[in-house]
Amino acid sequence: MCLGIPGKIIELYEANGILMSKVDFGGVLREVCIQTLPEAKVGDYTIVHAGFALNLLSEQDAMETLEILREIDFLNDEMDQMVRK
Amino acid sequence: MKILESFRDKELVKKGIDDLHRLIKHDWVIMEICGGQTHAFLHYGLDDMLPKQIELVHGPGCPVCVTPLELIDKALAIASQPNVIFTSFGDMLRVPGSNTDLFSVRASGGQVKIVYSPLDAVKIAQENPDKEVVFFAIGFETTAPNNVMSVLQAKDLGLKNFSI
Repeated sequence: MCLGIPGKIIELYEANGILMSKVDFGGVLREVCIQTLPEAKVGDYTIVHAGFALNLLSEQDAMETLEILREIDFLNDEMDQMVRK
Repeated sequence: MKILESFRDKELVKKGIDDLHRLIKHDWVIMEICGGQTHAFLHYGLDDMLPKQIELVHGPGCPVCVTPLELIDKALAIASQPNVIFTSFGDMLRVPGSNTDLFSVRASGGQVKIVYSPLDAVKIAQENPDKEVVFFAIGFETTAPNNVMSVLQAKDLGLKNFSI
């Protein structure tokens, strides 16, 4: 619930009068409402929370954020292994 | 269970606390980001064991952990109605109310569906015109625009069976 996740916009379209998009999260595609970011273009990176795009971010910032999330995941695995030992 | 046991290891906890007392050189103010952390600190009495120099400040909390018990009880009552499909973020399902939680309501026949976005709940309302679809619109400033968007969308689609 707390985490916004960065992804890449691969398609923009209108559905029922609101701006929607397909966003690629490391290979997983999700439909995201992008109504609050009319300036968004295909190829831009955006941070998404609960199905809504919050803002745009640079590719570099997106990659850094994803790297941190991967580290957290890695730490979780490590913690699991430590606890099992 | 393993994780719980290791956090209840007295020696391990004592070592951690001793290390803190040894390492701390000046006053620290630490904000808990999540209400779950606040809860754990107080529940297990960790706040009393910390060095005096550490001051814990209760932080913002996420939409799930700042949801008051009363609201959860109301959600449980609505979700138990026979003609209702109750939609919620998955995190809310295990949060206990006074007597039960949404998972248990679902297990005893209530229609509780997990959605990723409030707009998914609108879709469910569209697909189930004979049911009342209720979205559990938890949160504060960050989630309010999304919740409002679902209401606008439902209005534009002419839905009469969607509420938050």
